[in-house]
Amino acid sequence: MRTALTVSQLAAAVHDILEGAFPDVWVEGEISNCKTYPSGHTYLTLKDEASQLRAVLFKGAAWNLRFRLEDGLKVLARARVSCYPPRGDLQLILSAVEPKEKGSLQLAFEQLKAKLEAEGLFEASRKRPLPRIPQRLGVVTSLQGAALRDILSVLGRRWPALEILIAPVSVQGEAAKDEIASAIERLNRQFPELELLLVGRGGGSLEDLWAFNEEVVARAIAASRIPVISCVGHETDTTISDFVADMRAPTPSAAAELAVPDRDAVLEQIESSAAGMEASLRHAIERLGQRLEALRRHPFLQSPYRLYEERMRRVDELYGRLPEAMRRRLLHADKDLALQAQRLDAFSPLKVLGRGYAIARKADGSIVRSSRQVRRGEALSLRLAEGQILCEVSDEQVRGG
Amino acid sequence: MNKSGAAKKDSFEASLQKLEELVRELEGGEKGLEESLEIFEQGITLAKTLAQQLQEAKQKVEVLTQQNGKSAKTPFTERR
Repeated sequence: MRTALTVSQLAAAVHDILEGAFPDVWVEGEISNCKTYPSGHTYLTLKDEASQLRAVLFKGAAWNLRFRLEDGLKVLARARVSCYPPRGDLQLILSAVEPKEKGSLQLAFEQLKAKLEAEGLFEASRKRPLPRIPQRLGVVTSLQGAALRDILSVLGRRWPALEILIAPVSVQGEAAKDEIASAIERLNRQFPELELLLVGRGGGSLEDLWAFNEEVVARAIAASRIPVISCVGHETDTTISDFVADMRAPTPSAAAELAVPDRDAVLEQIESSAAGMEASLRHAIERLGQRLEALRRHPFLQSPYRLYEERMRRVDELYGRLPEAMRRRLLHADKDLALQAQRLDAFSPLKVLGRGYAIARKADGSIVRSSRQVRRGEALSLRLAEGQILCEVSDEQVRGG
Repeated sequence: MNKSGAAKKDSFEASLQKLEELVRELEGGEKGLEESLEIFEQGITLAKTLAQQLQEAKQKVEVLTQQNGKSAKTPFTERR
């Protein structure tokens, strides 16, 4: 006779054996097929090169997980090995998960930063300008912390003309993130007249500052209509709040310095404005005085006869130029005459005679131009350049042309 | 609200900007003498008021408290 177990009996037995054998083990592997259901439970597969195991992280164990489980993440998981009788599947029930390659806070920080950055919450274009001189300012921090003391003392020294409203919150521990987020939201809703919020705390460990790396705080800062200066810890601490705030201050004191101008500097500015106005007014009066003086000294105002004198001088001057103009004109005429005389001279018969010619005349004075005009023995007179010769024609011949 | 409180309503920054504007106008030297005098008087008064406001200003600090689910402001006294 064979004795047979029912499926349920066998499944229950396997379940008991597995749970008895592996009540609490650490297993190392890579996450895949990770999915979180509305119930809050997360189902995933842990695998290495050769094998894979189904696993579940129930809501009760997931709540204190800082980072997000995602495919490809290498983790160390604390688990008990079980069997899910309705399906007969082998299943790891996880009680804790740690990232293998970095701390879980570091990973959570990186994951949230990447997520919010992808949403554009860190964009420079989202940053609201800070008021130059705020009159009402909100502070979200702990009443007991050094941060508040620092902030109040710097604000009081630099710019006492300020109304400050403190929203006290815890800045570390489980309640911190929700208190901070709701304080920011409440100040926006109930005190919209606030012009600036300082949100932060003094220095501490990464865990102490953690609230300012929480998504709910980051989203409250992003949603704030009032500009926010984030100031968490020391210079070297950077939180998600710093990225999403409109301005990041390295410390609470620095936030207070960024928030308000320095009273002494503004007083100096006011004084120099007053001095500048006095100088400007003095200049204006001096300039007007100079213009008046210049007008008073104007020749026409000094002596109205100037107008007449001016014209008289012009007439005199023109009158004086007349003789000179006439003289020039005559000089020109003289030169012209001399030129004409010269040209006339060139044609003078005396000039011709000078070159050795002679004019022959008969006794009646008529000029002899041809040998046919004279007879042998006729008396002629020859006019030379100098003097004349009386002579007789000894022969007449007609030659040539 | 008393008188100084009412004057305070004009934001300090707006007044400071107004003062800067007056100085620029006067420096421009384009205004007539009478107008310049008016600007000067206005500017000096404003400068005095602003300086006085700053010198006399006292920090006012309040704490937001929750009573029966309602928000209230109470004066802040530092705990030592």
